[in-house]
Amino acid sequence: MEMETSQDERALIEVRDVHRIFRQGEVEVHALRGVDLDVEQGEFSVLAGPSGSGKTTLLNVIGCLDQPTEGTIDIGGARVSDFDTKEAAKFRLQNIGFVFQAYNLIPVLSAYENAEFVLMLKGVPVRERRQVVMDLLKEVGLEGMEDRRPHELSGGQQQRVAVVRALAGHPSVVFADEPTANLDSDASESLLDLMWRLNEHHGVSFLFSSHDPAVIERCRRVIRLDSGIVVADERDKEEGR
Amino acid sequence: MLTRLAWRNLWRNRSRTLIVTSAISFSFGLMLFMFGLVHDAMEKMGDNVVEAVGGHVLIHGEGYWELPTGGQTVERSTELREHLESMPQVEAVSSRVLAVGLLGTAANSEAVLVQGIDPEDDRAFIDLSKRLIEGELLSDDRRRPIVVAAAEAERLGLEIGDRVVVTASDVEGDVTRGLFFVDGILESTPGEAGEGRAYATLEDMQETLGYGSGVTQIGIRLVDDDTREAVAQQLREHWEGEGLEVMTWSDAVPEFEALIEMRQGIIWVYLMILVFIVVLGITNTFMMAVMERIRELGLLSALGLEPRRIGALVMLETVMVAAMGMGGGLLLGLTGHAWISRHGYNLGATIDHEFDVSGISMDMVAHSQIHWPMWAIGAAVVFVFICLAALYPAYRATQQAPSEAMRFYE
Repeated sequence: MEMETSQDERALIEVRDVHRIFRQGEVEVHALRGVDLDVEQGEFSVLAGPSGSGKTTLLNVIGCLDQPTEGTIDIGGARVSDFDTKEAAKFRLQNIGFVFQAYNLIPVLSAYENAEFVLMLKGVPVRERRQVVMDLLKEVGLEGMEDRRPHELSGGQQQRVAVVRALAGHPSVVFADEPTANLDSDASESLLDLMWRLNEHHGVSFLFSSHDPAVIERCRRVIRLDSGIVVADERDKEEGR
Repeated sequence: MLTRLAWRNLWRNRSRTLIVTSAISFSFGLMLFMFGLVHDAMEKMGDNVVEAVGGHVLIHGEGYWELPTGGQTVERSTELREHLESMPQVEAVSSRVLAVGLLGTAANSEAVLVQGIDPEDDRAFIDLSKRLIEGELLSDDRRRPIVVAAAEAERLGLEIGDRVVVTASDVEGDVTRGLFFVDGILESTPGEAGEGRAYATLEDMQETLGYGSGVTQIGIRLVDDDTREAVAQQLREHWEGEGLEVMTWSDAVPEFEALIEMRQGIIWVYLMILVFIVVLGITNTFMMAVMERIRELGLLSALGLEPRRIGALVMLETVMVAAMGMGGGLLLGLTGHAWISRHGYNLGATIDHEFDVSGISMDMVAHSQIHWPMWAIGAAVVFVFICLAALYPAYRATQQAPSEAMRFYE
């Protein structure tokens, strides 16, 4: 389930003619209508668009949280759109990090345990887990807060823990769905700084889904969606600060 | 990590966990307590019936139990006893001469079953000395002693040392008489050693009825009542063609066995209803616990926890609740057992007469006995049912598509 390492000529993520239709009784909702997209290793990109444009749906199908109704998705050479739930879970564990909108930590675990969770599932030895998690917590400015439960942390601190958790398993890509939606502007700015820095230092790709202008300004590439299709793809943007 | 997560999840809703745990504790404790009472009652009923009929297994001359005529003696009784005493399942053996006859004085007579016994041998079956209210129990210093029940003694106006005549059929089927002297008087209770029975020595009865060294009945007390059918069958096969009838106490008093089975059946039905109610409660509770954590379970799935491990998490929480509840139930059950064993409870307190089945009186004071196999089976049944109760919630937990569950975040 590991991604192929040699990917000459191939993008990290290849999305081809992806459709996603939700059926509720006799009503069909076409959330995605034939999306084609490539994402390269190390990108810092955002899926932007108004509510209902399909950005979260696209993030879900690319992130193996959902399956497309039609079309194919390859990540690192693996045809993830054909995975069953078990294969998808294994793939997510090994290759993908997630940061969700809010309340995305396990409330009964401490900050350290939340960050450690994915490494435990991967079977990483205790000592190595501790090293990785403590280094990352220090890097995101949460040193000394490792024993706090989520309700003892601010929203921004919780999102930092989520970022640590997403990066701890050394994924090739992190999907972040509206990561700043529940944060004030200072906390948003600080979180984006952190993610930018981690992208620079660790080389890990970030793909956001957001309609927050602050996020859109900071990303090097903006993929705009409307009514389930890509309507614009702005590459090689300068960082907005 | 899953164990830690499961344990902490349990205590997120402390009051709910405590209510479910208490319900399991109470039901399981009550079940164990009932097991203790029922087992004690069954043991006592078994002891009562063994005392009343004379053993777990009985050997007579062929046709004796159906129609005793006086001539049906047990052949080769000495060899038979030797064989019985060599069997590991056998605890004690007693040879008897039984005669239905009349106990008479110059003025009156009473129908009784006279048993010629060896008091030492028979003590393993029924300790008559505990029921003796006056006199001695077939003492050597009195010639041809006989012990009678208080009811007959009163009706015949008998006192210690008085003469009585036993009239019964002899070995040829002819009526014969023997003179005896009252040596002791027993308390009167229906069946067993009480009303309608009298006891003389084996030798005196053999002499009176012309049996020589022959006996009417050999009573066998077993180490374990559960082996009675196997022992009886073994004896039937070994002594086939010797003109013997081998029967268990349940052959002798079949209605008694039916009563025991009926009581056990009722208790099990009652307990199953109790377990069913608890199981419904647990299913409901865990269903609620799963439904209110859908987004969290979706998060675990999104992070890469496989569906089967999400189900395992719910099952683990169930096992923990079951273990805590059943641990508490064990304590409750043991406490109840200890109390009732020490103090007893008189089930007959509300009825003003002796309770008997087929003329065999029942001890109505309930105590408790732990029968570990029964407790273990009960515990296993409860545990399995609790786990079954959580299967559906666990299954539902595995069926949450992460994208659907994660919508709760939007």
